Amino acid sequence: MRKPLLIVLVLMLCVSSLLSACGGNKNNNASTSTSASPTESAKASEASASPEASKPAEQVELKVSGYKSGAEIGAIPELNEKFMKENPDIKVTYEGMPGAQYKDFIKTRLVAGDASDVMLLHPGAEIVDYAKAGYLMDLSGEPWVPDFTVSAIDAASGDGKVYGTPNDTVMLGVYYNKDIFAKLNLKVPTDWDQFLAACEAIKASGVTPIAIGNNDGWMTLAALFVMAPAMIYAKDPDFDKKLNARETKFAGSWDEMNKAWFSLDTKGYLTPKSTGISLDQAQTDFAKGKAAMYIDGTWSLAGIKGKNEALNLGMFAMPSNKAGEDVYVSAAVGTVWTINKSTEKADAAKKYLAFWAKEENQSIWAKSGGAFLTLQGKKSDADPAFEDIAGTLATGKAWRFLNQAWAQDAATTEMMKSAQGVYLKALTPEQMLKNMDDAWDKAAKLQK
Amino acid sequence: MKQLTFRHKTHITLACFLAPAVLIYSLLFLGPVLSSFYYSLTNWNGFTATMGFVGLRNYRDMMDDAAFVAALKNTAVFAVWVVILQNALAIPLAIALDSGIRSKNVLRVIFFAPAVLSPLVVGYTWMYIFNPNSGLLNTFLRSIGLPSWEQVWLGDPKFAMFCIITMVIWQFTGYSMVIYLANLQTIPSELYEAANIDGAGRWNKFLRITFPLLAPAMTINILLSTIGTLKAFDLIYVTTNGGPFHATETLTVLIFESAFKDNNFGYGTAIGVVMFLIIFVVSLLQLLVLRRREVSS
Repeated sequence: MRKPLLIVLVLMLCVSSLLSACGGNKNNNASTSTSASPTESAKASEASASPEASKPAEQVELKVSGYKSGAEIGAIPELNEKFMKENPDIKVTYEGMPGAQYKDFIKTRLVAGDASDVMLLHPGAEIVDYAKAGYLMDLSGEPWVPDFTVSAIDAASGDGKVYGTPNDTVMLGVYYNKDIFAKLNLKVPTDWDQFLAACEAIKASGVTPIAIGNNDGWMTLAALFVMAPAMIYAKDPDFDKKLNARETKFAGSWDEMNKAWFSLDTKGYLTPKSTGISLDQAQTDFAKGKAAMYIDGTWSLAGIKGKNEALNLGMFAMPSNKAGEDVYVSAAVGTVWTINKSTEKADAAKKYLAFWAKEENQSIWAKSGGAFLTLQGKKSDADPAFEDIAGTLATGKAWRFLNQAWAQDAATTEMMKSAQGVYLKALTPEQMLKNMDDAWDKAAKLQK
Repeated sequence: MKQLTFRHKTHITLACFLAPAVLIYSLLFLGPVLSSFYYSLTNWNGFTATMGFVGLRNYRDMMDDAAFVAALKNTAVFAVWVVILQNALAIPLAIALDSGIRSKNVLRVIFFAPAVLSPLVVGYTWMYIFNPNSGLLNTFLRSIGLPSWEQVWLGDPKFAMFCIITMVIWQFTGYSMVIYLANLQTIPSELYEAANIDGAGRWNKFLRITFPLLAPAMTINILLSTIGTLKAFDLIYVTTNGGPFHATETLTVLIFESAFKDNNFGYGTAIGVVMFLIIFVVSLLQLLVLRRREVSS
């Protein structure tokens, strides 16, 4: 008698291990959208026909979500207040969370048909994929489109249609401690040999040359993202196209670059035992002057200054080029506001984007996040720390963040994991590249 | 005849009371679970409207997937160590706190307290302890003159899994202890009195009375900690995210990565189904064996 009951009990306990949260939503999505659409369309588009049209407009609640929160939130709250003051009939609620978490959050919300009206998305693959899946509103006809530079609009587009406002140009580069450089008589390096010489001089003075934390491997991803523009893409701008077509692979084309990066570790230029150290801990080491350089994005300036207001710092583009070749900078649109295609508040959402596209608001945002403007012919009022790297950006020798054009993000995940393997001497740099190719092929095969 | 109709009526009343709960449960829980069996047979990427039916291909691919095999091994190591150590620590703790110590009520609360914390809080706190440069553990080792024992705890594949096992045991030993404590109250004191008369020592009393009679609590504890560890995700996700270099990548981490990071939702779900079967079979076997032990003792 009791055994069957117990078995059922165990079964129930076990079942909760299944992925259930997202599976069911698919059906809910279909049913809510079919049941909701007649009433919603009656409400929205036929408003003039309904007797309630004469009533004064009620306050619309516009839901906005994004991957900017905490130290990175910048001027979002300030700009939302400003927007609500200018548009008293719209109430904006913003939900922000850290990037990795947001990526999963917004995906499940979109699938469930429950995403916010306005969403902050990353340029490139994220926008292209969601647009293809039919989640984003086509904004090609919006008046602000021509105000942005062509390349910025391109980053916010997919299949020739514009899906959002490219709010800012952000860069990945090498932060450096100007005082340490001055004390050792070092200039900003402009090629790889000079960079190695600078590292050697810093190491000889007893300071860690480059602070890095690889507990999740992201900082090595950033490092390879800053190395690749000069070493890979300057020589073959079509590399990503060939990579996506599987005509070329990481193994065989990235070997030299990968070896060059990891040689910094064997030479003792990087924080030792970095797989046990977090980005935050590495940033602290740099801010406190225990390390002379630190590779990260322009968005981290506020965080570094928060740890040491007095730090005299600058940022340069990673000189991975040989002597005589051009220095390239890793630059990309950092944030794009997009509109949920199934929103019932399209008008309010479009107003919100138009508000963000205005120069004064773009400037407030760019300044708060240490970013650069993407507006046509407008000069950025950037932090003086970015003087060097802005100079490189102005030459036009810039390349996007690599994975923005990759067809499989699985390679990015594997890049971070295998990088840890190389630091731990469990892998060679060559094996790491092969792992990335394998991860790519595996993910692609499963999607067939 | 009359009795039968009465019984029928009760059944109908019972069914009426049960219906809402069953309906909600099947709609919000069983439905999604069953649909995930279907998703495991597709190549769905997790967000498009369309998906292709691929039959058992995901399951076949899993067999050739080195990452899956490694995750299976990591999950097993994790579960076995936690189940054994947690129970081995909880029993003496429960016995100690069942004795006449004055502060036993306070101590019981203290030992149980970590179990109510969120695994995220536990993870972040222990990360400070394990920090290789400024962490409590390494600083302590340095201060007592053992700097050679310092490790990159969470960043070294040799230690990372054991660091996580430590965190889990720290968090949940108190929980197991409470269950053993409850069981200890049910052991009749006459048995110990009789043993005293027979001249049995402490160890003999534990071995021949306490331990066998703790069998019901042990069944529950082993079952709960097995299922709990096989399903563990949050703590691993915040502390190591499956790293360094896959060293702590359990099935749950692999499911999350396949489904949400690599956009292979179908494949991720297939791993989930396999995990479900594993947990089901393992806990069923445990239950049968442990139950038999309860009866025989």
